[in-house]
Amino acid sequence: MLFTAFVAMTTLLFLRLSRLPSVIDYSKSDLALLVSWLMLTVTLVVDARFRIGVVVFFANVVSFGLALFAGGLQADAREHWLPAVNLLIVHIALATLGEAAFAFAFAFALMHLVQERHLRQHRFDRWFLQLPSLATLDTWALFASAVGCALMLLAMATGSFWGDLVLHRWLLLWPKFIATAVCWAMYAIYLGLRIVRRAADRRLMFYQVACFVALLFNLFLVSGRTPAGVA
Amino acid sequence: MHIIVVGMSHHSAPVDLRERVSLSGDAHSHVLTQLGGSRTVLESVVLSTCNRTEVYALVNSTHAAHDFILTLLANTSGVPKQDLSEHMYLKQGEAAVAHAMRVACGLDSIVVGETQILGQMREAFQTAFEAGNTGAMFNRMFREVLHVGKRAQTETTVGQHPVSVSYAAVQLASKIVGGLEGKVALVIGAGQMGALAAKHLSAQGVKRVLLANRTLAKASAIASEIGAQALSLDGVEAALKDADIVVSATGRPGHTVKAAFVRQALVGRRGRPLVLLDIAVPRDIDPACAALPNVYLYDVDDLNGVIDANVQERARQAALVEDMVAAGVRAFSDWLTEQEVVPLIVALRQKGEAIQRDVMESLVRKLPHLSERDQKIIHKHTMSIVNQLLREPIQNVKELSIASGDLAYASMFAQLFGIDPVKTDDEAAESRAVRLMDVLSRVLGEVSHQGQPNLHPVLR
Repeated sequence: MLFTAFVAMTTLLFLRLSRLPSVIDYSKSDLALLVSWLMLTVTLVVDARFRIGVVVFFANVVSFGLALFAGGLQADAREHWLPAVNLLIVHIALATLGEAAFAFAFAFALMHLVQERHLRQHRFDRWFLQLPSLATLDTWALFASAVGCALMLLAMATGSFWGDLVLHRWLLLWPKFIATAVCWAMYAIYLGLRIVRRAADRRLMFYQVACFVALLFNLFLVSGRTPAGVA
Repeated sequence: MHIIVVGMSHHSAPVDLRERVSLSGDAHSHVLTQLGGSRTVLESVVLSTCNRTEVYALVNSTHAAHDFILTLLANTSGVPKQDLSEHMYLKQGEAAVAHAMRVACGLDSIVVGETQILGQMREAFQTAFEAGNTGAMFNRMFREVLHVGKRAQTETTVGQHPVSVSYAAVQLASKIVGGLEGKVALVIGAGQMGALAAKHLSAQGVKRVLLANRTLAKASAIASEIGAQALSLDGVEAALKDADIVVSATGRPGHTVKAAFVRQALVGRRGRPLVLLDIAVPRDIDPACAALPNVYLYDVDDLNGVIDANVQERARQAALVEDMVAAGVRAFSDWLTEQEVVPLIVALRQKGEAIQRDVMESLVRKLPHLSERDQKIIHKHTMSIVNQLLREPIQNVKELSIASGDLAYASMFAQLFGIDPVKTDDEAAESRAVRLMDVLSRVLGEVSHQGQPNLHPVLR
């Protein structure tokens, strides 16, 4: 069934991307679908080798949620891009991978919360047996967040550099940049808190979920258009 | 021909008998040589582990082969044949093949789902193969057996659900702190339960085990055995600060571990979780500890809950493995049937080609003016007629034979097309008997195997 979902999503992504006039002329819907597809692919490949079992399920829940967003945003106007395409492609790739890493961190945080609830309520069922330990989920969430933070920082740097190169000014007051910087700062706070502590508890995992909600808000609701008049 | 397994395991024989019958080195080779030289046994594989000794054999006569194998094992082990026969089982046909698959999957092991047996089964087959004791049928059968065993290991978690209290405690602690390696465990109480818990934790790779007891001398004695550190009950409060896992089993009235101790111990832990396992009755640890942040408290009832979950999950996984075994038996049966239909198909094709050849020769004689090109075209088209006529009947007889599991349809097919495959008298008699039984069962409206397709006669 998962394989069928993967084939269907790959086909949909291929059809969407094949209709793009150019690589960078994508919509938010395409981006969400790409992040969703990346998550599904990574989990399936890893599962085939290491049997991560229920992780696939949670990654798919998140992936499906993103795909739903993608469907809802199909009517969005496409961005109108500017020169220095190569740098822009690097920026987009880094941002996409960073968002995929954060999506994984979110999936691990959800799993942590579910397992923690089972352990607190002394509910010993299949979920309890199949979900990894709290320590493992905490480590995976930390790792995914750290990777996401690094990639996002690089994406912001390349984006700003592109702005300077093409628009001849730094885009520090651009709403998209501000929102992304806020999201990055939220994740950085999470990483700081987690490193100071020796393990994540429920509150920190809720905070991790909040970080991802903020990221979604940034991804789908904050306009990615470049400042008016400069194009 | 029949597939049988004659053997003994922990289900049927005590350990003293199993160890006498167990075959290793020269004895194993000797038994294989004897089986290879027998007229009754056509193919054989000998599996001998610490918990089972089994001979899988393809035989002409079940009764004669059973007797031969019993005698052989009695002579090799020195155990009287009568004693041996009381503790050995005989399975044949489908039951024997399914048994081999269950053994390979670890379903028949003492520790259900253990994985070592698959390697032992592979080695047993390899040894028999190298000794020349296996042929086409056992090569295929054991390929299927090992495939099912591998699937059970990789696609299910049948071996990952232990059902003892000590394992449940370890499992529960591991779900919180991850692996136990590098962790610090504090065991309170050096009675039977406490000592067992300390030994078990030590065996699981815990970095440091602290054993606290009212009588320090008793704790010291046990601690020195397992490389733990002994302390008195007064030292528990301080030891809590370092501990990741606490197992309490003093059995004394009142709470040995008070909530105030634990609250104090949480200072400076920086969110590091603390697992408290109270296996004493009456309980040793203050239930109020459960409300503290990053503290997870469980008692004996919780451990029983974990065991119940493991039992249920193991049953679910075992059912999945049973499905794999059934599919494996089915695949082997289909292969057996195909092997018998293939010669008929070859014979039919040869007959078709012979007819086409005769027709071509006749045409060339009657129409001598045909050019070489015309002859090629006519040859191509007449062959096409033969192929088109035979395609569907061949496909149908393969499918019907696999579905029915015997040669009744193949035999009818042969008669319809006037093919007469060579058969020995025994095979012909067996085939007639099978056909008769098949007809009778259909007349009586019997649906074999709950509506599933029949298995090949060798597996019945």
